[in-house]
Amino acid sequence: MNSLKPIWLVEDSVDDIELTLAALENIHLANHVIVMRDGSEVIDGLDARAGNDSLPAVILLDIKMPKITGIEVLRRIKTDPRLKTLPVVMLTSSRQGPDVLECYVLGANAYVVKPVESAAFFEAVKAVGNFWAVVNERPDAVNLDEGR
Amino acid sequence: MRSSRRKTERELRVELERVEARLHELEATQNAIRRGDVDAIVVEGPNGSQVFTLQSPEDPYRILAERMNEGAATLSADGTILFCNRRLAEMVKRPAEQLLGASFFSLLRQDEGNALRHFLESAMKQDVRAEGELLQKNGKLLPVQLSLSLVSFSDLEKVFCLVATDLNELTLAKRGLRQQNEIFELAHDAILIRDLHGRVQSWNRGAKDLYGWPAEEAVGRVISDLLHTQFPEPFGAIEALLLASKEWEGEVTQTRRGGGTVVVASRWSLLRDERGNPTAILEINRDITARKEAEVALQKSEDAYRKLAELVPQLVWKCTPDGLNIYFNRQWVEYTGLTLEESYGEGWNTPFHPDDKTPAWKAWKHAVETGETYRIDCRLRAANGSYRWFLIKGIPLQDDKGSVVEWFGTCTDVDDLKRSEEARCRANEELRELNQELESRVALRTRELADSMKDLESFAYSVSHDLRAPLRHIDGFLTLLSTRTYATLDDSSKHYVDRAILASRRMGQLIDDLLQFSRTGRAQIHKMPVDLNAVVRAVLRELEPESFERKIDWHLTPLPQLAADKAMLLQVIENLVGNALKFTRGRETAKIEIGCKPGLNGESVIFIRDNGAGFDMRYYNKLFQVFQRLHGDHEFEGTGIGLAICRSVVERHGGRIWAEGSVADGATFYFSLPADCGEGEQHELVEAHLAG
Repeated sequence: MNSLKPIWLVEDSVDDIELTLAALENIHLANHVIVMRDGSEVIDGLDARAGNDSLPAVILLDIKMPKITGIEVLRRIKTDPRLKTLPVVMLTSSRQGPDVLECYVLGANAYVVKPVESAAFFEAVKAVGNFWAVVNERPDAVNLDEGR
Repeated sequence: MRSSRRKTERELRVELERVEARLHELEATQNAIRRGDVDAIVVEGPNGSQVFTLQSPEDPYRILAERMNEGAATLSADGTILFCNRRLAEMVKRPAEQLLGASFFSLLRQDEGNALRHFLESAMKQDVRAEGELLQKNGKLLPVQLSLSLVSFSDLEKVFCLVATDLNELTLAKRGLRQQNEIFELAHDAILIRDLHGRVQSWNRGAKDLYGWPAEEAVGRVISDLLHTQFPEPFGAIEALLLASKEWEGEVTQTRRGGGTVVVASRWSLLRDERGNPTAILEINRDITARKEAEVALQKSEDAYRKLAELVPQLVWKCTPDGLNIYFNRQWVEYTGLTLEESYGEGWNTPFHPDDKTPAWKAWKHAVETGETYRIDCRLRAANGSYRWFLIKGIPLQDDKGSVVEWFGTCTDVDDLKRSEEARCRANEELRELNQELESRVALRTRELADSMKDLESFAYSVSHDLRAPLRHIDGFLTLLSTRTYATLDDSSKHYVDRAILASRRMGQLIDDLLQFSRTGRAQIHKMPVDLNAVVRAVLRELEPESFERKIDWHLTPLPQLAADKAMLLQVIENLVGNALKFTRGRETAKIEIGCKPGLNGESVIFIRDNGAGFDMRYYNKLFQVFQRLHGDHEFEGTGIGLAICRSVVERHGGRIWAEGSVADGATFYFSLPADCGEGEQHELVEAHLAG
């Protein structure tokens, strides 16, 4: 069921989009990958889909983006009761700054530093894509509430 | 005569004499009339003189009797009042008509009836006179002198003529005299009367107390023999003055019985008779010896204080409560150049600086109104025209009753003090301004630093993010390219692709190291006691992969506990031990020694020694520089950032780092850390940036 859901890749850099798509392609995921170029697009898309079943399986979210940053998008998602169970993987090219801590505080499900070494990067994207799109079963909001 | 004013002795005497004289006169008239010595009587009345002849005695006699100032009556032998005048009626306060025919006995106290009877009997033989009292209608008794004469109109009918003289006035006069006498006796002052020859006539108790002689011994003696009075001026002059002005006053010195001397304030008054001729001198003397002595003592103390006032360096003054000056010491004259005459009174205001006159006057007014100490700083003009600052102080001197009699004060030259104080104030002000400027400069610099820190942070972020991203892309696309085409590439092409990938990774490493170095320089130091042994153990565990399958002779000695930032210290040790492992890689057996020795000022010096590749001391100055390497990449990999980070950490802890080595003969790296915990390094961040 999850496999039918798309993976959203939110990234403004065309190079990163191409490389990430290549890496995802490499692991032969069945999930369709939807690329979004900035945060506002994500917010609008999620708002439109919240409540129905067409939410993505996972969002791969770049931190540094124009207009609305990845961190802001993460905050919106994790503070929205309808969306907070949606898996979000933060992608960043830097281990620097307060970003890592902030992302975890806000409730990011994973934080992946894009390694310079491409092989490692491909491995990282593969792992993330496999885990969140295939292995990890996202609980329904209802189930979550009952589980508590 | 009935004045409420107390009559003087002299007045009383005069009055007594007058009354007595009138009695005599009356008596004489009576006798004359009776004996027929006179033919007529002239009576002074309001309408002028009236002459009464005795030829027809009836009417004129009555008129005379009515006009008399004495009570008059004719009595029968049994005391019945045949006639009485109005004056007698007044004296007994009854109407005259009631008295006619009444018994004279009714005008007397009952117990005096016999006395009157006896009186009447006596008058048969001769004129009699007696004192008695008349009973007034209101019950009061009037003292009178009664004169009784027998006037025989016929042998059968014996008629007595009675004259009653009011003794009340006379008695009062006598009582007054007695009181005067008591006053005279009781007065503390010595009062004496002497005649014009100096012979003592009266001598009161005060005189006895003062001089020692009783009145009995003093009266009759010549006063100069007694008292040996010394006068302040020739006696002749005094006498002349006394005669001219009837009075004299002065201080004299006199001798007491037994030889002691007294100083007296003496007042003389010339006594004269009715015609104004001097008869005697009244002398009232008051003992002022004690006062004189006090005055002398006061004079002495005043002399002493004046001497003192002349000695002190201050300008000393005295003035009246009105602010009029009455004394200055020599220092005043010398300083101001004013003469005493110029300074006295209001003159002492002139040396005040024009700007100080008003405040000085206000302070003075306040002091005079409140009795508080007068105190003010003023500039006074010196003789040469320049001004100096003085502290002027004054205190009020009070008399016994607490009222201020004069002000006494000083002017103390405080010019030097004032000027140094001003200089100090100026210096303080300058210092304050300087501090303010410094503070604002520090604030500005801090702001600039904060700004540059922000710049640095955003730069670091850009470096890590923006510079690394294209590198990653280069690497990514090269990797994709090589994955797809590697098999088809010739060896050279493979080599180029591999080299390009390696170069991009190396640049990524350089960027990461640079960022770490900048982070180390900026991170806040959190000092705490750190056990170096534990740090070394942790480092060795961390570096285990490096020493894997190598023969290493570790030489570890116990290390001290130090105050440091644990994470940073770990970084230093890890770098140095990592270097030792790296540069001994070529040795069959690596020897690495980690130890400690005492340094200067209680410092601890930690050293890491190895038997590795060493280095050329000629390039020592490059050793701790960023990105400076003494070995090629083909020998030992590295970015040249490790030792630079070590230096930064050690120096920020207040220590030093240095090294010794020679090519192929190993190296020893030392770093020292201060003994104390180095507290108070709250500005680490700022300092680090200043150093950077």
